[in-house]
Amino acid sequence: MLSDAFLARLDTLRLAVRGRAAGGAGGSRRSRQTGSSAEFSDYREYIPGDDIRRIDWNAMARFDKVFLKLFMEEQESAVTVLLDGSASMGDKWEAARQAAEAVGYLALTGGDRLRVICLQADGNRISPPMSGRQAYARLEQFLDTCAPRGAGNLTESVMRAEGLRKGLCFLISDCYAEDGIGTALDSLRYRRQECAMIQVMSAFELNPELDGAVKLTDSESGESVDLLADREALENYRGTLASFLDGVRETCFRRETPCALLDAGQNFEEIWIPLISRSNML
Amino acid sequence: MLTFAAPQFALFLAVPAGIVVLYLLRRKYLPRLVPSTFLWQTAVRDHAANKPLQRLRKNLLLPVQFLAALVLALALMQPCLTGGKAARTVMIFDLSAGMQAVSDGRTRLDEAKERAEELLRGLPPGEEITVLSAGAEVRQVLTGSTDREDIRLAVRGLACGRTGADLDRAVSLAEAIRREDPERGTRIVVFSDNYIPPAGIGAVNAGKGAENRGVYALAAEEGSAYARICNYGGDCTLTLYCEADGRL
Repeated sequence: MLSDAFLARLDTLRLAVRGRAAGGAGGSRRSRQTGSSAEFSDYREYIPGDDIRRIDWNAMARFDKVFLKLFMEEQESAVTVLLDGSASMGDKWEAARQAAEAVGYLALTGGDRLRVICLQADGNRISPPMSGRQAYARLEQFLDTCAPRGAGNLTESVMRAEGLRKGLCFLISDCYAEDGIGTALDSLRYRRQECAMIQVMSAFELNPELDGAVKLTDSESGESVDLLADREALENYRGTLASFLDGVRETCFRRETPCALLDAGQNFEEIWIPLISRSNML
Repeated sequence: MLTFAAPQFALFLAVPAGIVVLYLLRRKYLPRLVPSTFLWQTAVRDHAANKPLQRLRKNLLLPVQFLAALVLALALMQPCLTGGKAARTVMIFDLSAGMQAVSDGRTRLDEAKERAEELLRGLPPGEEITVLSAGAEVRQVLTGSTDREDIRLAVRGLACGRTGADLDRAVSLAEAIRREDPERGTRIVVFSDNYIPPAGIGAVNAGKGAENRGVYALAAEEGSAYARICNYGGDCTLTLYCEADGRL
């Protein structure tokens, strides 16, 4: 869904990893280890999408299996995208999906192994592992099969997410959780994830234009709130919104997690690059 | 017993009723589906908790408006207490010849009668009216009547005499009536042209006393007539015509 021109712009960027990359597989990410020589380090099995120039033909001849050569300073990272698929994401889904695609693209072109998990109450949907630029089409296909539904408990869904290899983790959500996102982030960090938070909010949520007496019904839970939307009530909402956003930022800050606020009402391709470069995710 | 002096204003009771109806109609909430009421619930909770006075103000608005409109409508209807012993009014009419003086196209007596009717209209129902006429003698035209028609007829039927008026007698009679029943308030009003009443008595003076000259007494016997002419105004010259059997 992202335009080719935009993807071309993303080609010049790379996701930042502050910690040491997990060793053991070929990638184009620099590790902390010193040594700039293209020194042979290890083999790993080929998976579709890897650079075929790395294939060690000798090893293949010997073992009848395709192996890649790995070099010391090139190590790979795993990137996981956790996409909140609860019903509250309904009117932000497009922006959230685009964010998932953009992050996924950056991971794939950076030589990282990508996995996308769509968090849902009735069972998370997990994509197969992907790597290489060509896998982008598969990423799009996977996201096509996801749709926001159900009343989700974000923390629970995150804790149920499985198979997370040590690496980067991008959580894309509106952060609507009763107890905040702290527990979710902690559970990810416990599983050796280096987290980044992309909070998505819709235009209506950031700036509601309501008038008169309205009965707001929650699409997720079905609960409703009767409201007399006068100036005072809107002021009050804005105050609540501000403290909510501050709370999310603070929670992330305490855990050294970069945090970005994505406004679903704006043109994604225009705001995405400045947004993530500001948030130290590149 | 509570009655209303102006029951025609009962139609204004439609206003407080209308206010209630409008409030009831207003309470319709337009439904709107939003992805999440997560923030709104918190906002509404805070709003309610932090501003109890605001909520009170909003809740007070309807009953206060309703009460104000109700009280206004009731006031327009002029509630009054009647029953028990009603008050009394004694009207004394000066029927002296001077009351025939004409000013502004009507005689002073006519003016007095009009003002008496005005007074009547302002009195609550059930008030007992006594009409005394003070001419050469004092007569009780009507005593203790509550029938307004009767009173009006009696008042209209008053006519001036040719003599002076014994207002003092009339007033002392009225005061006697008052003393009869000291529990009740008795109002005494004298309708004259330049009467200065003693304390406790009201006076309605008709006419403008400036140029006043007239025949204050007239008596005729066989062969001779006696007339007394008085002039209360400035100096002037009068011509007196005397006719007998139509001949001058």
